Amino acid sequence: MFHYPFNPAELSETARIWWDLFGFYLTVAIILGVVVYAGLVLIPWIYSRRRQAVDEIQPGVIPGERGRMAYLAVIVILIAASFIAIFVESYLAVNKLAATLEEKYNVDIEELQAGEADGVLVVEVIGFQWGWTFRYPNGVETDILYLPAGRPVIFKVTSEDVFHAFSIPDLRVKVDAIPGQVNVTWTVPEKPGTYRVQCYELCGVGHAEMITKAIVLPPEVFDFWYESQSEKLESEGGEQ
Amino acid sequence: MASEAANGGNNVALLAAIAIGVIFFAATSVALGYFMVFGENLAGPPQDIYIIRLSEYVIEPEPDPIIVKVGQPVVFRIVNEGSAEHEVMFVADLEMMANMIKEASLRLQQENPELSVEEIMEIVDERHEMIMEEMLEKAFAGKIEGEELMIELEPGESTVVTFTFLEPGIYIIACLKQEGTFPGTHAEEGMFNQVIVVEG
Repeated sequence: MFHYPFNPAELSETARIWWDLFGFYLTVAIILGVVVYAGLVLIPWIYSRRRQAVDEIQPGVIPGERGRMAYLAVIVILIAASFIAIFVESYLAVNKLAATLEEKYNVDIEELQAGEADGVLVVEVIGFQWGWTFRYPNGVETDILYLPAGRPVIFKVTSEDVFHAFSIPDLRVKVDAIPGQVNVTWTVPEKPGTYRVQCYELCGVGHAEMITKAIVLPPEVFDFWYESQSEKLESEGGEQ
Repeated sequence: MASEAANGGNNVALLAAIAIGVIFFAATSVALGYFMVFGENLAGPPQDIYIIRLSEYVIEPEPDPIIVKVGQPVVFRIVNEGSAEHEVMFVADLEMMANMIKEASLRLQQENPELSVEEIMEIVDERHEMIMEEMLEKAFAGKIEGEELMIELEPGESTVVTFTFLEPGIYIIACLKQEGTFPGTHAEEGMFNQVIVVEG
């Protein structure tokens, strides 16, 4: 279930940002790994070729081969550079998450908060013990998340009872669902299909079964579903 | 001399141990990394056989979703587990099809108020079967190879059909029966799903 023959970075806009960051971390890790393993192999080899034993104890003399400042400097610079590079790149990626929504999809965050943005689907996600309710702008409530492909979707995530975490792992969406608080996240699903929605915060006995489906549909099929649900809701309201 | 030889032997053993360690570590890291990065895609390549379960207003495939390779025959075992008659039908334009059936039955109901809902559904079904089949054949000519593009199943009935998809894309399957949801169709309750056809 929920597996794709696609590049995982092409499943959504947030997945692309996530995989870019992952690629950067991997590059840093490979560079540091090569340095460490080269040292592990070369240092014993070089020292084993020397005739004189470096570590031979000579009373009153500190062995000069040990603890050279240059080696220390190289190690400190490597560690500091990797820390700074990872920090900067992570910071940029976090900023990119907000900026992409504004720049690429022309979503005005302020207008959105006032509830006026066009072309954006705002889904309220309510976690409870143990399941999810998805409330659409037209008032429809479902337990399966329907999403249109290629359109920005904003999730307003909250909880009814205890801490939960709303996540669609394949689309790289994850945010905590906390009672009395609304956390906001977004994504742009790009490939139609069925994805897993799961709780990522231990929330009780039923935590492991707090799973549902997110069905990403082609936009015209999503519109059909959305409109027919609205009509159904209206006719039900009329009857009551 | 003896101690030098012993030293040389130690060095070889040390280097061999380090080399084995490094190779082992590198191999396991690469394997683990590969599974971490691509593992989620390894478990689910396009399959040859899918079980499609129909019940009250859902089409549930297993595995979910249906992913098929272009040009590769795929077997659908379709089971009606619901209590009403259902169908699996390929539709090019879901909204148009659903509205067509809905409007036709509403019109019929207006023109002949003495007919019961069951009779209207039967008449609409009969009238549209020929048109639908022609439309489907026209819409999916050169895209889907299969015996029939519209499979109707009584409650409890099951069938096995083979399709070959010739073009990549998203194909929508839906149930356009009206039993229980008259005048709307089952598709409006969410009884549709998609077949994802990929190249490769």
